[in-house]
Amino acid sequence: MSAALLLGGFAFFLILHVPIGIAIGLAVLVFMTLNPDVVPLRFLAQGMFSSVDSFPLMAVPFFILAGSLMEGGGLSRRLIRLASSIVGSTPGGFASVTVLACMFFGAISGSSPATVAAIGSIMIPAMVKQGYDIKFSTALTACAGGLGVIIPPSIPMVIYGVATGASIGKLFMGGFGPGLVAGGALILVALYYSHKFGYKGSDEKFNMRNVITALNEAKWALFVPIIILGGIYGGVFTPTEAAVVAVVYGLLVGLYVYRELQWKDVPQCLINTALMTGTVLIIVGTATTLGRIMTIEQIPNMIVQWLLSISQSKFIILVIINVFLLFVGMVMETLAAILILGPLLLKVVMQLGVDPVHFGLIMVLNLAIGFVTPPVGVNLFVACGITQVDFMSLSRNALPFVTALILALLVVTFIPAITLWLPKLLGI
Amino acid sequence: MLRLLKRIFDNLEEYLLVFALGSMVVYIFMQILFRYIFNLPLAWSEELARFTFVWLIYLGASLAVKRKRHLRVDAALLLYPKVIRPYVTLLGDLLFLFFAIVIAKETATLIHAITFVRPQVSPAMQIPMGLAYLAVPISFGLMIIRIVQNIVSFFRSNTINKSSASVNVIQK
Repeated sequence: MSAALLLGGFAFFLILHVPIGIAIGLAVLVFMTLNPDVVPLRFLAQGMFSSVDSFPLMAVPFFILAGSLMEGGGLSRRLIRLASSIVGSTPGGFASVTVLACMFFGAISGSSPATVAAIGSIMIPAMVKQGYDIKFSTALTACAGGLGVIIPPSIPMVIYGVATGASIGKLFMGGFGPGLVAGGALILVALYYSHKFGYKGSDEKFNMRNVITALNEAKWALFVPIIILGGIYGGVFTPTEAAVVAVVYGLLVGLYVYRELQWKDVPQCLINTALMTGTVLIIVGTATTLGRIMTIEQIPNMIVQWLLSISQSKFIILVIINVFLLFVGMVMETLAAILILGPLLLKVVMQLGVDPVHFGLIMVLNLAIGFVTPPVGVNLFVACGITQVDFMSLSRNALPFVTALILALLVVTFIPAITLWLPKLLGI
Repeated sequence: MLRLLKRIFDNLEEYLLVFALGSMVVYIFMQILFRYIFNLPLAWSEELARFTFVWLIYLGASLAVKRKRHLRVDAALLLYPKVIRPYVTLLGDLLFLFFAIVIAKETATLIHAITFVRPQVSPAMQIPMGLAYLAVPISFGLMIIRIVQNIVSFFRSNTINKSSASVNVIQK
């Protein structure tokens, strides 16, 4: 009964076009008014402060800010040059360069739309100039941008870690395997279509000296993942502190080394970051209280019982959850989905023996797919903004890549070792 | 003078947010520097950054009201005929307004309790917790103003559209 009231109320307010965080708050408010003996109204007021008064959560604005500074600071262009020197000369080379460059940029940025913007604004025009179809190029970049959140650092992983209590450090390390699988799947599809349409690589032959020159140019950008991940694993700093170091580092490199960022651009970066922080993290304020009430009312247990009545198999239940998450990813901004569903579903799958880090990567991969599925596909919007290709035909062109990502998701779901080998190897 | 005040008020969130986020970077970076370079861990930096972070989130949410950038399930609008969609969003805003009023009022009550009835101070900086909590009612108060501004401009632009439409009819 209380489950129907909470979740039904939430859905009801969403349909009335209330902002997601507020819809949760209103559902909680209705519940509290009808059941004042379960939790008093003060609980919600207190939660608005205490749930966001969190040091780990602070990594979110810092990673957004770091990405925004590095995008303006010329780091992306050098990463593209490096990717191009490695795979540019192969057939379909430009498509592979795009995916590889997104993987590199994913390692310095925690955001997926930022990856699309940073790599897409350079690579899409370059691909079109080489005779690649503009819709194909735009769709590929939109999908490859999703790698930005799978390869660490990753803002959704921070959110998942804060919401569920899983180790953010472990999640970051767990992202490498799935990132390689998803990136590999995209490159395979891109190569198939490049072969079919006769897209060529660059005229320059592969040359080790070019790689070394590009590596040298990009070295300041490549230090970023070393500082962030090395710093976290070496116990030098927490993920939040690592994000601040990335901000300061990105600022200094952009201003004084590459000299493509100017002080006057900085306030705009700060405001954009604050805007994104406000829209996403206001949801934490209300979703935490919703989560607590659901725990008090034993709703996760009810969902487990219900799922077990459908099937006893862990894998079938994981497939059901994946299908459900893909659907949610289509209609809801996916950071919000992680916040609301992460803790709930983790309680469910943990009873089936699924590792929290493994499940985190399953959710983040789902999110990366949600970024490129209509009607709410942030990456598609960003990519459309770059090329002015119309939204519907872009969605159609993204279909083969989305299929590849879904296959990657299945592989990652059913082979936990892909996610867990690296954290295990490092002994964390 | 009045015009200057209006400009400051119109951009209030932007000024405060640049300051909040900029200072958070400084506090945490100092925390790292003091720990490793001066071997002198700071006690206050994390707490001050956290309290500033709460301001950042809710003032950012107020900015998002102003710029109409809050995350909504836009697909839900497909359920309604085109002509009434703006009114559904208006209803959503009115519900947001109601929520903002409840939260501003409830947190103000809470602050009263932890300031005057059972005083609480923060662990590291020893400042009254009520001061830290102020971020919530003040930001939601600002959100109330921004929502009302949006609603007013919604009705204003609606009547302007209608009157200009009737002007067109007359001219034809």
